[in-house]
Amino acid sequence: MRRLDGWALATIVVAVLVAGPLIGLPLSFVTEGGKGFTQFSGFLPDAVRNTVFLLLGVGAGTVVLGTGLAMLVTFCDFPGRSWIEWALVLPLAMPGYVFTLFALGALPAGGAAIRSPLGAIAIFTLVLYPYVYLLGRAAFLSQSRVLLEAARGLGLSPARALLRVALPLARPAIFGGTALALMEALADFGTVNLLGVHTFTDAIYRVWFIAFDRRAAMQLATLLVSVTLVLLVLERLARGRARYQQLAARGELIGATRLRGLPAVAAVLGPLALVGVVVAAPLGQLAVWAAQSIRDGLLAPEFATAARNSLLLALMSAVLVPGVALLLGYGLRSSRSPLATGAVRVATIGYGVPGSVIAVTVIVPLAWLDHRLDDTSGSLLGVDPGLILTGTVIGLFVAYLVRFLALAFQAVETSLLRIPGELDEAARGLGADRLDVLARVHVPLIRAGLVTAALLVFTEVMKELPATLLLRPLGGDTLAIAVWQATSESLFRTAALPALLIVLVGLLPVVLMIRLSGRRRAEKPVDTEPALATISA
Amino acid sequence: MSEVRLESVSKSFGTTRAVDGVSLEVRGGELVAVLGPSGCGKTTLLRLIAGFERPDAGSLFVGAVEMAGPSASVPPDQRRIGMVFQDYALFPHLSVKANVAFGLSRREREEREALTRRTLELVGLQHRAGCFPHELSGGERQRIALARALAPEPEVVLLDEPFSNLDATLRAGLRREVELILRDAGATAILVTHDQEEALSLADRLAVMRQGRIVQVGPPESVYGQPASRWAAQFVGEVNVLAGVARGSGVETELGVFDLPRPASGAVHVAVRPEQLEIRSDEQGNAEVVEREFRGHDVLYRLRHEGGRTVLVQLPSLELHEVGARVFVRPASTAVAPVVD
Repeated sequence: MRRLDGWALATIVVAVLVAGPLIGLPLSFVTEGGKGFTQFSGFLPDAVRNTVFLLLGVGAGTVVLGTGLAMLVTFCDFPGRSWIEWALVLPLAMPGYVFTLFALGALPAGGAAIRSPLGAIAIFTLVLYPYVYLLGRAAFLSQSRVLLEAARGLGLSPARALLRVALPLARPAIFGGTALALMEALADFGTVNLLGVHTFTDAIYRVWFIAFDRRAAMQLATLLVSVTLVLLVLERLARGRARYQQLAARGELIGATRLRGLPAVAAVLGPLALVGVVVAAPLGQLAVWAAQSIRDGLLAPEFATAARNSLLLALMSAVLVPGVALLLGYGLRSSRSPLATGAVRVATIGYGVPGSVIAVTVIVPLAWLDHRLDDTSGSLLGVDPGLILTGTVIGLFVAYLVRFLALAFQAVETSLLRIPGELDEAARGLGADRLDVLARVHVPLIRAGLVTAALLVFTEVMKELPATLLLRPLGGDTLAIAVWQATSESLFRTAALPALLIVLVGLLPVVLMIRLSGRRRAEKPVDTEPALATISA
Repeated sequence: MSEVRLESVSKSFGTTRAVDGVSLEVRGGELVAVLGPSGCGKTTLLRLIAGFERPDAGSLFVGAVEMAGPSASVPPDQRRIGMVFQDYALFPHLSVKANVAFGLSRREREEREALTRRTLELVGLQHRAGCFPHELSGGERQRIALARALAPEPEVVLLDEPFSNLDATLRAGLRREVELILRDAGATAILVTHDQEEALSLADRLAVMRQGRIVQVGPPESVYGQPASRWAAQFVGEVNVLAGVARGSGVETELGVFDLPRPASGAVHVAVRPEQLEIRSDEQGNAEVVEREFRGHDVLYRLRHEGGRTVLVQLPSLELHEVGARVFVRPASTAVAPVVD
């Protein structure tokens, strides 16, 4: 039995702080007698059916689309590949509810055709496939050419070699990406609410705001968390016991097959059409609407405040959340004890929990703490500071941390896993202590992973709707809230400018990061660059 | 450079005793090879010395300092022990120069630069200083890994199967080069390998390891010439184990009489190396050539003796015997055959 070290201890403390409120969720079943499901039994069958249907559809859709596109740009060469390679990442900046706003406003009859579970599946697949695409592509790029050549040498055709070697090797990454996409779909509130698809999150919202039954909402959320847990367990099982640590692939890049003729045309036009529909067309339409709204004075009066709030929240979270994720990832790496592993798993379940529920689970302990602080301060100092946790953005940050830790952690851990343990030992043998190893070996090697994590958190917070809706301090409207409010009232033009800003701000770091990683690739071996950062210029 | 002393060091993983009561002394400036088959615990032994594993029992001293034991546990970064990994473990994000300078971060800038330059010169790769590891050849990576381990002037250098990733032609040349670099640096070095040829040609002394225990320690010539056991004889080179009757300073076997290194008596087994036998063509000879393995400078014959057993004989390739030929096999005039279990 190994001694608990500082890193492992910190990991466990963070896990308890982050996940503690969530663990209390099932208690909603045992308190106040066993009345259980009576109050919302009407919502449940619909919610289960729609949610399961949604998961299956989105899972299949994102795996096929994301993996197919990742293989296309990695193993095939065609005109404009390096551009298309990163253009396919752009839908990352398009939140489901913004795309829904576009679709509802642009389609005839107020978008009646997509107000269905199938419509929701289509929208989620279009905006969530980049998770699978990015992780899959990074995995394909890190594979050694030698393995594929070995398969060819054993008599496999190029296509079969891809299928039997490249694809299975990339499986952990593809599953990881799919799990992310599914958790995103599970936690979505805006899209399903605007489309009128009654999933779990929508049911929770309605139980909460229409029936004002907090306990019932928490019970529904408990069921939802269970589904997330199942997803997480499935993902872990898929990874098996394999620890994907590879030493440098000796700089051998996978060779791409040059496409000619019709396939080449399809390889260019297909992705372009996709990005056109998911990004370019909505941007154009939103720009037109936004211009009209400014001209006609349809803009909401709180618009400027909302924009500033959104930006500040996103920036600060992009520093906070990856930092905590790094702490967890590093704790896990330095001590593979079951306790630390369990702690990290627990700490990262927040991603599957809808934002509104996180808001509630976070607000209960914070409110309690707040009143204690207020009382203590009042009696000791005679000063009344007010509610400093729940009355300010602190509560919001806690919610974002719980909600997006898994996202940042995945990016950080994926890159950490790709650093062979021998490098740690080599560094220790050369006189580096643990902090040294972190600063001089790990951080440089996972910098791209950290940037990825920061970027993902930034865009996610910009888009985040339900938790912000509940926890924002007075006058703390964000752009996302403005979009949702206006769209649900079919005020598409009023919603356009804030929506446009959300997408543009979300696009900015995506583009910046693509530039950055393109420049770096020339000077560094490809196999050290995790996840997003391997996009070439 | 310091001496290394292990006193009854043990380490188990689950129920497997990877290292089982190993005691070993390595003198300052000495190059010792730990030789054993894969899974014998030799890499664990190295990792115990480096501090990546903690012994369950026993003590480890480097110089006068107890590094691991009941009363001490010095973390790896404070042991001043350099390690060369099997896969080199070069930092992929750092240039060759930065890799070599990695362990010198606490030195003054000038000293750091000087040491880095000097070490790169020692391994003859100063012209590659600006390259990244993935731009180097296998042999160059090997030498950079060695330079990185040597640069902080460690008390001891550990090498884990350092040549196993190189092709045969490169290996022989680099082996000599690494030996010269280590001797130049005056390093105390412990090298782990499963390649007996490597161990015999490189090391000052050999420690033969089996199932977590060290079964024999000594200079290469004595480990080869006087193996402590039948297993050690068979693992370090090829050998014929013959039954015989010892009478004082000689032993009588079915192949003839051999000298014994130490007087003995009674029924014994002796280890006879293939080069301690000689053969000549003889139609009425006592053996037949079954197989001939031509190795350039010498030839290994596999004979079937009239007693039924297989006998290995190694001879210079001056005169060749055909497969199927009858030959007469007998002890070479200087053959000394040690008794084994």
